[in-house]
Amino acid sequence: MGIVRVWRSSGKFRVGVVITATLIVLALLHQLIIQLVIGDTEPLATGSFAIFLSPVWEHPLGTDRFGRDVLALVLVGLPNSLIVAGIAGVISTMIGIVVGFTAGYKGGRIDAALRTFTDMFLVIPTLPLIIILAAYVQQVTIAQLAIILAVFSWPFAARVIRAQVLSLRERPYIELSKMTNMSDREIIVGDILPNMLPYIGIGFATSALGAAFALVGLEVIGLGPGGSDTMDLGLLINFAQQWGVLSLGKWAILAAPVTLLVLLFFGVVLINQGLEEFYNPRLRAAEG
Amino acid sequence: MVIYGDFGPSIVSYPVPASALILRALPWTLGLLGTATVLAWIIGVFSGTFVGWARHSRFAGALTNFALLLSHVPAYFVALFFVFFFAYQHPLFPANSAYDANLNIGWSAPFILSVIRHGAIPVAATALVGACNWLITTRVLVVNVLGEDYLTFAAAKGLPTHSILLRYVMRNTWLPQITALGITLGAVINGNVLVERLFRYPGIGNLLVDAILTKDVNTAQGIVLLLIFLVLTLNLIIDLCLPLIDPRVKYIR
Repeated sequence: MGIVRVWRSSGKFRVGVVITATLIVLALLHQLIIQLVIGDTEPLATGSFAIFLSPVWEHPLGTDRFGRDVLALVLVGLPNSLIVAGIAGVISTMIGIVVGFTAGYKGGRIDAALRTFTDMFLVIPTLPLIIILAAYVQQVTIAQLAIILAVFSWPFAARVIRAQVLSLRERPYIELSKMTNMSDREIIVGDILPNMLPYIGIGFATSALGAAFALVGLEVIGLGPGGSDTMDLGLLINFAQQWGVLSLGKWAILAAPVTLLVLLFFGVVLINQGLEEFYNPRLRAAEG
Repeated sequence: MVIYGDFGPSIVSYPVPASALILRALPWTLGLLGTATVLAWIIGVFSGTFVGWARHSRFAGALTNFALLLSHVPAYFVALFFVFFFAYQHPLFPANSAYDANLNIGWSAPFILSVIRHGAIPVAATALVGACNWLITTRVLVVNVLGEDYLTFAAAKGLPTHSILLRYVMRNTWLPQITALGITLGAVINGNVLVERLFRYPGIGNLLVDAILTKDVNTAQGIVLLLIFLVLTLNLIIDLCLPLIDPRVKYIR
């Protein structure tokens, strides 16, 4: 399949997949690893250990202001961040597919209307709106937050998909399918969709990444999901700033979530670039 | 009421109208974003032209990959790193507020200097991410232009390389860049809200967050409406200006 060919040909793609897969495995196995590090102690329970310990063997990343193990906190936070990114990515990709396919395939007035709408969403500064919505829905849950983020991050996916559908629509094999009296639905599902998968993948990755960072942004402001019992990477950064960990010299509290986010970011961007360079020969020509 | 710019009184600092608060914060944001945008544009376009022109050299390739990665990083993340390196590790620049609290606000030399010093990190962070974006878009445009016959002709006339690049190559990249400026505006404002918050910079972004955390509805509404209005208006102005820059663009009446 195509993915195997990309894997073989692109070093960027390989590195990206390895990084992203490692993070996902970490998130899936987080309970096991926490068990190994701090035993049966509840990771979010306060006062379990001495406060602000520097990294030692029992606490590889030290402890925080409430005596919680930082490594355990990071591991509890990682899955939540990934879940928000995943849900928001899936929803916004689905909206993007519907809008992109309708606009690109139908063309004409529908296209013009949808394109104007998409461009408007693309241009408007969305973060202030997200902030307002997150503040309006008090005590947002993770799922609600993901939906809010998705509502504002679909235009990019829609735009990429529309452009590609537009160029695919004119290909000879689509003409052939039309002549054999296939319905629009059959053409879209059977002929266009398989060729669109890499672009849908790129759209998904971009939206998911955007959502992950928007979540961090909201947390840094102090508008994250749930009360004190929901941990995610952004909230840790927020804590680190509130406590002034840099001036205290406890840099691990800030560095741990930032490192994970940067890794997630590199992984996804590398996958994206690998896919894009492979499926977009014009870009490859420009590279050469 | 809203159309006249009257958003009602601020609920937190009561008798003061929300618009007064916003107007007080606006110059700081405009200064920050204006400087950062201009810097980003200059650095990005020139280095992008260079990278496109010398695209076979290893240095240019490395620079391009670096820019590709960095261009997706949110600006406040870069700012976080800058704070770590330039404010804590090597205390060169202050890490919060926009000016030294001991100075009187005014057009005096020490005050302006302190504003520049305080603005250095936020501007550098926003500009760096912006410059990387410009570098990538410019590079693609330059590479597409490079094969054209008129460049071969200009080289055959014996024009020096720098004047070919400046006068023949870069001019062709202007039009898409000006359109791109409008599209990136929204993203720049997004990033700026968080950067301002990080530095407690007294601009619009910080005011918005303060307003929401203290449930100052009128101020928050005013800011969001103002930001959207600004972005849309600027985009309209940019679109309307295109025919002045490129005579090929015409709007049919």
